[in-house]
Amino acid sequence: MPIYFFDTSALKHRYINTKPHAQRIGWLVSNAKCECYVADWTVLEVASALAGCCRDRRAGVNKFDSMDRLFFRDMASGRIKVRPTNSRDILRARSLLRKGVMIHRRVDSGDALIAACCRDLALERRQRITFYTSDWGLYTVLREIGAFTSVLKLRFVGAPKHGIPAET
Amino acid sequence: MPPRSDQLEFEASAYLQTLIGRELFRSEELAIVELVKNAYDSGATRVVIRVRPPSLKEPGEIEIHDDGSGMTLEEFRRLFMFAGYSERPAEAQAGGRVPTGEKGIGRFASDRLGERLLVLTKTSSDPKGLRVEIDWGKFKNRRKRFHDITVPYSEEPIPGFPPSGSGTILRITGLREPWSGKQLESLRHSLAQLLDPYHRPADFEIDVQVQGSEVLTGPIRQEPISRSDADMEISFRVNSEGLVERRRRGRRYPMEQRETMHPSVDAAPLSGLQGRFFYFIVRPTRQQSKGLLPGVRVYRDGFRIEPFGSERADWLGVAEKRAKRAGHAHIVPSRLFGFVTISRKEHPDLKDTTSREALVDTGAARALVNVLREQLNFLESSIQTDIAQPRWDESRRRKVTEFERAKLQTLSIMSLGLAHELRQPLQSIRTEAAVITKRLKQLAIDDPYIASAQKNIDQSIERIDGNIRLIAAISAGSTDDVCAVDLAKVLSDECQLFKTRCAALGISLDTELPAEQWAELNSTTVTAILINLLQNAIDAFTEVRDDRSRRILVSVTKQDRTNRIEVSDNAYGIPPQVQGSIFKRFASKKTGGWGVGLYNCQLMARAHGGEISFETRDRLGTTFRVKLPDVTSTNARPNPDSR
Amino acid sequence: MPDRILIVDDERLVLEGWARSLELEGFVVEAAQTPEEALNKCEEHFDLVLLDFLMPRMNGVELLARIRKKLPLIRSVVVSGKLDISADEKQITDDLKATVEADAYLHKPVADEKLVATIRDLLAKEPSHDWQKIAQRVTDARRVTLSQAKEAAAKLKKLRRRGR
Repeated sequence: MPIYFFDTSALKHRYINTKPHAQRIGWLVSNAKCECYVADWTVLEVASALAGCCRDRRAGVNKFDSMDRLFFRDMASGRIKVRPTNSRDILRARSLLRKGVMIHRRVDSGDALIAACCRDLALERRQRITFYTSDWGLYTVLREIGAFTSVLKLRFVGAPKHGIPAET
Repeated sequence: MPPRSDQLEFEASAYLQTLIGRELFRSEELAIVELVKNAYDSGATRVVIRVRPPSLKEPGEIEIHDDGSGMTLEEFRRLFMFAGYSERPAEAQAGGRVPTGEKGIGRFASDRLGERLLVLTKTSSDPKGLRVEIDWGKFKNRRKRFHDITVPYSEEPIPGFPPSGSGTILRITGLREPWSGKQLESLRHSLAQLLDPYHRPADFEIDVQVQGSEVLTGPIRQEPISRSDADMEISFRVNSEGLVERRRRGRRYPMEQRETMHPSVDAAPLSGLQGRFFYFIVRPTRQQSKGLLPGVRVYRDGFRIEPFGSERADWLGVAEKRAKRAGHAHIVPSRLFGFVTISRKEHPDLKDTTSREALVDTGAARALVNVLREQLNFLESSIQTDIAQPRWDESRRRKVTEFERAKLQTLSIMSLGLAHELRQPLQSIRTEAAVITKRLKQLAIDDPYIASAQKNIDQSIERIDGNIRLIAAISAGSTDDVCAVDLAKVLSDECQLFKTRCAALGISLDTELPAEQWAELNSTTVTAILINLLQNAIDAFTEVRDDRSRRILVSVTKQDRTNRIEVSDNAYGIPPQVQGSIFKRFASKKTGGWGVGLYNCQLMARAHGGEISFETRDRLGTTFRVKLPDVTSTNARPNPDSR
Repeated sequence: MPDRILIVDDERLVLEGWARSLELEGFVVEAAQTPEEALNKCEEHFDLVLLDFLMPRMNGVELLARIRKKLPLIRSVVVSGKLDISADEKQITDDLKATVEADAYLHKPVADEKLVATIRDLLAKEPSHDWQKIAQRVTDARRVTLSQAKEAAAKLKKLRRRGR
């Protein structure tokens, strides 16, 4: 069974309903023939993403709650599984950040943790996992790190730039 | 009488005949009954009623033929043609029959039956007879006066009568009724009411002949009620000394009981009187009552005396008594059948008044009523002791059981809330006792006294809680559910709860239980019985003053499908004077009893199909044995976990 | 940081006793006598809730479900009167765990030592990291946990009535 891993930036489309991505993510999440994972860190980050969306659209807390509820329902039903992060992931994330310095790229600590968590899952399951992100920065950095590209299929959710393909 | 100028006269319309004729009889059967009574009054020994029911081919005809005294022309004129007149001067005559017919209207009974009447009558002294043709239709004319209607007659010999014979033939034509089979059956039934079922009149017979029907043809007989059908029979006779000999028999009394009693009045004039009362506890079927109507009837020489047999007359006050006591009198009038036989010869003093609605108030008549009332009282008291009383006892017992069950149900409803109520303060006590200890420790007071006191509080609370559990277990359960129960475990758990109580009293509570014993039982029954027996055993030791080692032993075994539980103690035993009544209600208990009492335990055990028994030895102890068979009915449910 | 315990019972006597006892053990205790009070207090964080499951005047089952919705990680100790002789605590605890997810079930009147030991054991263990469970407590608490909780309460009532 294929395994998909979403970071917060990709997952949020489903709840804030950005077209056309919401549909794609939704299809993946609802598909019983695959497993969808997020890192536990995403549980926190999603709240931030939803909050941002509410501010942008000048929506109230009710809107926040209803989007949030959708997320929790996905978790409750098991459509989205949450993988806890641990000290190993933290250390792996730190090296990712260090790598970012080496290639003069900025990497967000939360993203690093999520990526590390995903990689850990792939190694545990001995299976290539597809990692979805809508963060261009993260996507381009991960593309350049063999430790990740060797175990993950990277997918960018959005319009790619500079001639770099959306799939790696 | 020439009309006087200052007087007015009543005149009657011919229609009056119709009014007093046809309309006076409730039914055509009663009209025939009236005519038969007339025949009886005329001294006939045999009355033949021939019926030819009307059909398409022929009109119908009814002929009533008797061999009575008949009438001469002069008598006919005087007695028959004079409406409303009745001549019965001979009531007191010992030899003659007492008339039974209604006053002066019997003659018109035939109008109820048919349009035309032909009377052929002959006395023995006259070789010729009288022939009269009456057409009731002539009376229909309202404008015509009563006395203007005439009927033709002739005097001539009558075929069918020998020259010295006597009798009357009434031939009725122009029948008003179709006389179906049902009606004829009903007629036969009505005629049968005239005759004493137990003493057929020796000198009177009624014969009904229906053309074209063998079934409906034949002499009239009234079948008597069979003793084996009735629940109670009281038969009695007045002997020559004026004493009443009576017997009580019937389905309720396989053994006949006889006695002789002194009536409260002088019954010598009634010597020879016989009677019997039959009583049915439930309404008898037609088969059982032989078609007879309830009530007490008097027959003279086999022929019924009116009105004493009519269901309208409550001359013995049976219904009145019942009404006065608002239904608590035991005799239900519709279930009582009485037959009293008197005779002209033996009881000349019992005569009818001229109105024939009562017996002349002689000493003999009063004595008759008294004697009969006394026999009815005897019947009533028999009913009370042998039927009513046991029924009440049974119903009271049932009510007691229902009450106990209702009590249990109420307890059950209350117990859930009550248990909670009791547990809250218990929780508080327990916690606060611990708080006290903890605080004292914090204050650097850690004292063994305090620790042990807290321990005791805890144990006491456990004990109270255990009791709450027991009460709740009994009252929450019902006595009806049956399921698979591990008796060994139930007994072991219960004994566990009692162990502390026993230990406090220096009693060692031991058990001899198998590892498990499965039974199909109602667990509430077992729990309640065991609690009671254990408590009794504990109580038994309150009297023991010596230093024997006190012991209670609980054991359980199973043989085939019977579970046997034993609770033994080595106290002083049950004193002999109490032994007979420990299973009775309200048997005094020295210690006041806890639980539901041995009486109820026995009830519950019995309801379960089992029994509680005991064995006791003076100064050595008592063993109670409870036998509870597995319930094998289809109601028994399997282990509830599998539900 | 001392653990925070919320105790709920409709009886003041019982609440005070527990509060005193647990405070002496070093916990921070808040008491609530009504469901509204209990839910209001749940705006703050609690590590454990101690409540009577079958109170006559309150639906303890529903209350627990609502508390979990607000504090999905909270441990729960359910205390209630035991009415029958044969069913043991462990069996009922397991039954309840399957339906209402009470972490421990104790019989009233519970000995103080036992109560404290049970609470300490539960607090020593990490709260559940099962996010699915957590999410369930938060979202479908209305549908799933509540109905299950009601089922469990009914089952318990039936058990009592049969004396097992």
